[in-house]
Amino acid sequence: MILSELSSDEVAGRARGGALALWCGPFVVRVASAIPAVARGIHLLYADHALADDADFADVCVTIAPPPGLRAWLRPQVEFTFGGERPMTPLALDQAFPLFEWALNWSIASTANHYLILHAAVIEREGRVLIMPGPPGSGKSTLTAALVNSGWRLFSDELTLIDTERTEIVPVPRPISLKNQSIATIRGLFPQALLSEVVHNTQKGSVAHMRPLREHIQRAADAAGPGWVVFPEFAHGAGATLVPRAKADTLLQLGSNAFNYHVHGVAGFEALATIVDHSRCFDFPYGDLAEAIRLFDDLSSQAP
Amino acid sequence: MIGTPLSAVLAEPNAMADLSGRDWERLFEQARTTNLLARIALVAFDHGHAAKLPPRPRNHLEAARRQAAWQHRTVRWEVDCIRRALAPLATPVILLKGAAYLLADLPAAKGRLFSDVDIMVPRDRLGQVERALFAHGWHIQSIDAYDQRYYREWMHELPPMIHARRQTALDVHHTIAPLTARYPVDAAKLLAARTPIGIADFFVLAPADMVLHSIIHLFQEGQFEHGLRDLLDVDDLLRHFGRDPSFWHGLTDRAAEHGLGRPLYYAAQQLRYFLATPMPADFLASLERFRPGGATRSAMDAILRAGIAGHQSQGGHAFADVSRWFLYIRGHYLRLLIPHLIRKGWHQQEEE
Amino acid sequence: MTWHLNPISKLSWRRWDDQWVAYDAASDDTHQLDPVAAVALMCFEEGPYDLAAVAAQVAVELDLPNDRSLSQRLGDVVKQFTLLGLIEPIAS
Repeated sequence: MILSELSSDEVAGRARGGALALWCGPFVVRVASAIPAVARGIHLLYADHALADDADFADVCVTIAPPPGLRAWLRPQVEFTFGGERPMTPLALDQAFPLFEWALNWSIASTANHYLILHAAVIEREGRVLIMPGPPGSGKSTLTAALVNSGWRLFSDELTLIDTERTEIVPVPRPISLKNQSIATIRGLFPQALLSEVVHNTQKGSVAHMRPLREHIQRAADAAGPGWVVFPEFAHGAGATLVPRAKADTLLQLGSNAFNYHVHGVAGFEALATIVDHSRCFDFPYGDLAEAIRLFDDLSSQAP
Repeated sequence: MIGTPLSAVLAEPNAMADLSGRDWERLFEQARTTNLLARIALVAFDHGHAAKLPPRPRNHLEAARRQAAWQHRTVRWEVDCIRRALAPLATPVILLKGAAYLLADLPAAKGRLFSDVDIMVPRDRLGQVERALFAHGWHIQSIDAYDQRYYREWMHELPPMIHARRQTALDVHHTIAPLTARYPVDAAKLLAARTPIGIADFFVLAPADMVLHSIIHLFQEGQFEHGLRDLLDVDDLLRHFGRDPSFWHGLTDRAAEHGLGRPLYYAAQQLRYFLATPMPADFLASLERFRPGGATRSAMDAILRAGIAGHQSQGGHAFADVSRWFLYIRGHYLRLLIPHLIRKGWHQQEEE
Repeated sequence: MTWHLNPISKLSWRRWDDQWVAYDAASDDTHQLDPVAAVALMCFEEGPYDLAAVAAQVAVELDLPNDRSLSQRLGDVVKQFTLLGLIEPIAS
């Protein structure tokens, strides 16, 4: 059963009772929240995700609620709790859904350490993945949003999960977060894409989320092997150029973009070495999204 | 099995096979809070349970196992860095606590996560050791002049050190209980009884001393945050060393020699209650001479029990918090650190 | 002075063109090395070497002149490796 088969009231009811459980890639996520914006956002953006049985083991439980105390009356806020801990500072109530998304990123990165996890977007084509590491501001989410609407399959806009045993990358497709100008850019280029309402004045500026394509959610169980590693760097006015990059250096860069590289010891090193070995590696300064899409199109049709 | 749910699973690994999805969630939540997840993981893998577990809980255990393995690598490397820094001094270095368990290949190291490395060196070599460490990239953590004095003059220890590049923490001691404590332990006796571990100049404490040190650590630390976990250390050590029947007699004697009979007595009580640690009847009988008077004993028993269990309960409750506070005060009383306690208390009041 | 690889180090090597990468399982460090540093480290991995012997080996393997500039470079490399805990002097 998928989430869209529930009414928005049913979704809200389950969330209130802490009994809204859904599959995100390999994980079962349980949501507990009485905040309407959270249930609304999930109902809209996770419509094609499969529901999980409430009795199933949940890998991650995300609770979004107002913080305790008088504060709630003065300035409505929400906070994220995880296993009795409060990993993030509370935010204004209208930021509840973005908080949910950030909380879920945090939760997966904290608990899924049987994977080697990179802070990188990852998409797939022709059975091979393209990994895009990048700090905030590199433009990787915008690029990802554009590419998954142009023939590439979404694995994640934020977390690259590497199974070190099989040297496979595992999808965890979820809504893609867009900030500030890129919201308008993506809307303009892809009017058919479904975007959430825009939330303003977050620490990242204005934020909206794009619903992932149904066929990508349906293929969330299909892992894939390495193909490309591309380091995007957004710069206004730049065209779009793929600049080949040394593999040794790329390996080290991937390691430093990982959340848990050292945890995996030699297995982590070997996984990155294999990925780099089987990938074409590039730096990618760009400013023109349409040109970027074309370039990536070419890439995918070239021999590995 | 009595005590807390978490300690029940630790005591009976077979119970893992019957856990529901929600049970696993609760277990992981408790285990994460108490830093015992790695231990659960190793129990699961060691007892061959892992293959029979549902795949997603097993993934979480695998994650914990990898993290523990990495932590262990970190500690071994840290000890190696210390070895290279201190080699020219040819001074005996005794590893303490987690690093000792690991480098001596003791079961107590399994699934245990460490933060700092603790070492003990002869008091007259402290200055040389500090200089050598400084030359190799360690520096005193930035603390104010008052706290530096506290360490150097009251505790007669080096303040905690941090390595500039690796950001790892190192505590250098010259004894296992501060000189101002009620139980001044003779460091020379500890050094004389040290056990080699196959690394030049590096040692661990003799078994009885190691057990007694872990007991002091349980009761004298200001924080009882890790009550059950620290008790598990003592339990592990006793189960391991206790296989040798002559160990127990030696433990009582050594406790008397160091003046640590009372803490040993309390520890034995709590171990029986929480972990059913096997201890020979004649050993327990030999502890009776350390027993405090009736009212003190039952009060302490209740307080210690609540303090150790306190951190286990979901969300905690008022009684456990009060008990923990009593333990905190008592721990400091035992150390006779009145000036420091007053200053710390003042600090906390200011923050609130 | 003679050095050898840290006895607890365990290296895994990869190479792409003229760039080498070595992962040490003891420290979890991943090192990126140019050919001179890579060959030097491989020497120490084999056994005890002094500076002169390393220089000679590097010169042969990489077809470089065994001159002052090479010795200086290797002096720096040895310092760096020692700092990183990759090699240590053998007590005489």
